[in-house]
Amino acid sequence: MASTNENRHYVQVWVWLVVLLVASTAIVLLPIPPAIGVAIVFGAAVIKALLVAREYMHLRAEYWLVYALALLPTALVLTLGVALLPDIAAHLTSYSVSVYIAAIIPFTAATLAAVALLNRSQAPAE
Amino acid sequence: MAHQLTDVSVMGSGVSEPLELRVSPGKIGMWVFLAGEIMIFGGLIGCFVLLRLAHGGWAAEGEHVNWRIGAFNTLVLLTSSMSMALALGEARRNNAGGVKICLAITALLGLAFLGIKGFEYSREIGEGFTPWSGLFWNFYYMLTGLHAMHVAVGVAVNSTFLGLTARRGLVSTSALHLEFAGLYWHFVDLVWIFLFPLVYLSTNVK
Repeated sequence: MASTNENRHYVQVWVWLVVLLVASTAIVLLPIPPAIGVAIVFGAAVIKALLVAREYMHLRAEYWLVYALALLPTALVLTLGVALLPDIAAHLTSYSVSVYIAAIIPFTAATLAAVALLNRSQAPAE
Repeated sequence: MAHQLTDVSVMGSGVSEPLELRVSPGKIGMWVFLAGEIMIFGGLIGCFVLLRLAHGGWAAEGEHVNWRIGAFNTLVLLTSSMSMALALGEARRNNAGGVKICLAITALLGLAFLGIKGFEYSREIGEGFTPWSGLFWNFYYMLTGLHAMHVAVGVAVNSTFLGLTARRGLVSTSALHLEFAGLYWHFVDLVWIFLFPLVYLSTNVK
């Protein structure tokens, strides 16, 4: 039965979420340089979020309008962060070109993620 | 399910074609609501990150939060997300009993999350870390408190659906309504997925 398979899939996703949770919390106990540890912890969080959004919120097979509604505010939030970065940099050190270069990274990452998601989107079955 | 909204004329062709949306208007409304929620939490989280970058002392303040309790609460919310998804699966199978069990588990796990969070707050306030103890604690209580309010609303919504299912069984729109409630609940889970490393783990990575 399709729904039985669907339920089994939901449980499999949960197992992966728990594995990622255990992996990210284990980082706190391991002697890893903070920069690498933080990157791993947030990397695991992004993967967990994508799993929940794709599998539990069914974004894996949604109409483009739903993607647009999810991605537009996310892009605006990223824009807020990028727009405020120079002010934060002014508190830390003097203004630097590297800050602006660094600001391009989240924009590029968000754009690539959006394009990848849209390419993977498919119309739901009638 | 395709929803036929209206007929529109294709410009210049003189042919009238149906305009179809491959997503229900209710789901669009739900996603518009969630878009607003993304802006609220995204803005607060963005401010937290940027202010933390500008104030080096936050890491020392953040070491006082108990990441083990946070990790357990994350497990509770992730499990509740699974039970919510299973409730939708059972609704599609037209199994009212399964829906009731899954919704009850989801609501109980939500209550457990709130109880654990309350215990955590009382412990921290007892140690002298109040919302006005510093910028970190200000953000900590604001972010986790706002999230806890969303969890409480989710518990109320799920309990309402549980009561309705117990009283009148499954109706034709049950699966659709459960999907909307599920979208909200999974979003609440999604916010916590980012709050947990932000508030608990990043300050405790050695």
